[in-house]
Amino acid sequence: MNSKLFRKLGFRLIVVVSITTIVIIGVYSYFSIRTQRAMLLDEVERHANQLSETVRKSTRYGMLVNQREQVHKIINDVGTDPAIHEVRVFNKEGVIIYSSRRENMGHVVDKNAESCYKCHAADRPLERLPDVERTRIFRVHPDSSRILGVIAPIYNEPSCWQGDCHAHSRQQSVLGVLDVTYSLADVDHKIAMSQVELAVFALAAIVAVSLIIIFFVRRWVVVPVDALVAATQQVGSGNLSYRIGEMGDNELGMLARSFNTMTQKLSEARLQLFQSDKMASLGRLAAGVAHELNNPLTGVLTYSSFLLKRANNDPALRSDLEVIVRETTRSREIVKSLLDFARQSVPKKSPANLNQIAERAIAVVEKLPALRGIRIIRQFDESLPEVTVDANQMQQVFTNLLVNAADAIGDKSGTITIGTKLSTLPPYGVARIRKALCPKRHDMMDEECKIDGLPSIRVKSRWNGNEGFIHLDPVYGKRRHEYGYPVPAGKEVEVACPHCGATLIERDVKCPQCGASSFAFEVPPAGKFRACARKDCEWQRWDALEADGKQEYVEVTVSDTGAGIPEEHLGKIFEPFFSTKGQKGTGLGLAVIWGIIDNHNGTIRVQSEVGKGTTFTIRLPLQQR
Amino acid sequence: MSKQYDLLVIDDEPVVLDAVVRVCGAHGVSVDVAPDSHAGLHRLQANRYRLVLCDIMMPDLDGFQLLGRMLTQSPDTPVVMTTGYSTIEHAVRSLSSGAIGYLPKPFTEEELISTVQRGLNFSTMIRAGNLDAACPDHYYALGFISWAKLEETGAALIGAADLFLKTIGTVKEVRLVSPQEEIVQGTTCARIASMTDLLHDVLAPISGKILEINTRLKSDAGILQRDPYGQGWLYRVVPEDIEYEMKQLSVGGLVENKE
Repeated sequence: MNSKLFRKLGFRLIVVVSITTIVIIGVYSYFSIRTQRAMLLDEVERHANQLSETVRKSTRYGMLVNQREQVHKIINDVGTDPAIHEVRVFNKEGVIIYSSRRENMGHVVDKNAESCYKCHAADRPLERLPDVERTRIFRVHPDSSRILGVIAPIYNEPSCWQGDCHAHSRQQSVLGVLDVTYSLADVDHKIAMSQVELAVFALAAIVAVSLIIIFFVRRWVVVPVDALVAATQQVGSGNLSYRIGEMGDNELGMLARSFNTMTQKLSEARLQLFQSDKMASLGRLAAGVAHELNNPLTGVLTYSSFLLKRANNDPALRSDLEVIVRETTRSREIVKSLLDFARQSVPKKSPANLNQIAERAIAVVEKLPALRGIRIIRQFDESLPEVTVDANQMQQVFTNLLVNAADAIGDKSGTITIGTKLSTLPPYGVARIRKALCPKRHDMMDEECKIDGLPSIRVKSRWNGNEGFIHLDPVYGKRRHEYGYPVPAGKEVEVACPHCGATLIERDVKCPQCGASSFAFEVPPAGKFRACARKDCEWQRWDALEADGKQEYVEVTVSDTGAGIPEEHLGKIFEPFFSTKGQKGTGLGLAVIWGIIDNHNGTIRVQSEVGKGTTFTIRLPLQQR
Repeated sequence: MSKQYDLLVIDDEPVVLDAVVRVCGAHGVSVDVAPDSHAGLHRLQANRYRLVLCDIMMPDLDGFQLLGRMLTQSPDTPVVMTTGYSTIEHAVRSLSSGAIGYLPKPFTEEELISTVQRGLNFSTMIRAGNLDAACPDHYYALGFISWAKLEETGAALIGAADLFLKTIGTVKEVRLVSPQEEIVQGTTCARIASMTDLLHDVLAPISGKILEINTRLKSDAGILQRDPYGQGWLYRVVPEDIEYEMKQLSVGGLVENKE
């Protein structure tokens, strides 16, 4: 469990950053306390020195004239300060002559005592003591507070040996020592206080920094990484429709987006593979069934037709045999249609009136029990021109759409509106690129990446040292391009053929809207397609189409007042084997429709609102391009 | 000891062999059977046959490979291909590979007899040495069955091959499809009834939409045999996928063995 926790990236990051914080703050606190201590002691030392000097100077006269009482008074007065431990003067023999603690007077100080040690450590006593060495810190008992002592040697002066008393001889250099001891209890307390304060601050800082780090590491790393891990597990277990939610613009957000694109591509590829696999096995199955079934049927059919011919004089037997022959012939047709289904048929086009075809489809559908209680409204444009279509396939399309509409309405009552009209649309926003060639004649169409259900144009692109693919929207003027790598809005990119790398940029043709470079590719047989290379610039130009002017389309709409299609299904309904009808459907209906319309160079669109209804719009070009 | 039979049937399905033996036997056609390709080749070498009816899908050897071997081994024995997996591709490939007929399973007694009859007539013609398979220049032929000729307008004429008509005997009636229907390569586009009341299917050489039907055939079916490459045409069509379909056809009556 612990090792598992420690293996987690977020935990490791938090631990490492916390340890770093602790070390930095710890080191800082250590040096800070040291400096503060040194400064405080310096201050006390200076103070003590000053005091010692003051005492020495103020007692000088008293000593000179040997007024002991006066010296006593001064020393006692100074010694009343609570910070001062003791002020004493001892002579060369170590006898304490004056002390703020009267009980100590007359005691002899050991030469090895801490106040004498500085001068008497060496065999011969020093005669001059440098200022810095005059102070010392000691404890009276190991558990008492620290004491700072300052010794000031009282040197022999001419006035000392020239005086009438002749108390001191001229040869003596040091007459005695003034020793001021200063209690450090207060200072030590202050140091301890500031140590505690610093420790508390350091602890608080460590906790605060750790919490902040935990918060942001969780938010920026742990949560997104967990989401990514969960997503990869989902995808790994086969759920290719799983998508990671928006994660922002950072690297992980980009990773999530690429991941989503990747799984989408993967699921499309898998679907296609699945579809072709299914069709292939269906074909094999049909072939197997046909072969296996046709052999026994041959036996039945030849024998029965043989017998039928010989049963001329027995009418009863003859009619029985006729049933066998007829039904076997019917079985033969069923097997044949199974084989036909396995092979997708090519459209057999001829000019036809879509109104008539729609009418025929309605006639077929009206008899179905599913259409009881449903009113079919015809909104036909009577002057609709003929279009070149495969009438049977078109009837199949309309029949399927009508049955779907009836299914969407279900048991309730409702209406289905089927309308036809002639519409004229400029090529911009409608015309579709079906073939795109680079200067070296490589086909750049990408059947696998579809934009709004149509194969896109894949180009290689470079921006700012980054390289990736862009899938261009095949519909002229729509610009729902998919950038395979991050390009900020408004940046101009390099565009090249994904197969040979030949550039598609035309340096001499500038975008008339923003002045950036443009790129172009050949769209056989309809000339060149040009567009601005700057992301989000909307300029596109397809000269050959614009020259032709507006395109005429025959538009067929089938609307129902049924249940509608949920948003998340809208993108999938034309995929093979997508079905919400369960056992009732094969999921092939709309896929077949899409295939038929696509084979007619047409488009089919769906608009739907849950609870309100669905509208399918088919557009077939009047002039075949 | 070499024996003489009218028909050799090669099929891995016993019921098919039985049915052919029974039906053809009743019509006075002597039948020998082979349950697989190797037995078939062996028998074809050992005995003399006037016609072979051969299944395409057999476990040991692909029917088209077998067809190629048979045609090399005994070029004078015509072959009719049959299969339970009846597709346009199989039909077209059989005919363009040198088979004189294609009989999809399951077949009726009449269909079998008319095909066998035509095959036997073909064999007789080969043996008599008066086989003239060549069709005129610029005509595209689907085996020995039918032809197509491109016109300058882009349309194409479709007709029945001379040899096919000769093997039928005297034509009594020509049954054409209705003008609304489409013609698909390798499928039946017309039925020709002979004086013996046998129906013979003409398989279309190319696919297309019918522009015109030769109405003269209704009143004068004989013109079909008198001028098969001229006045005896069947349909005028708009070809659908001529480039692809032409590859399956032989030019000027030369039947190339594609195997």
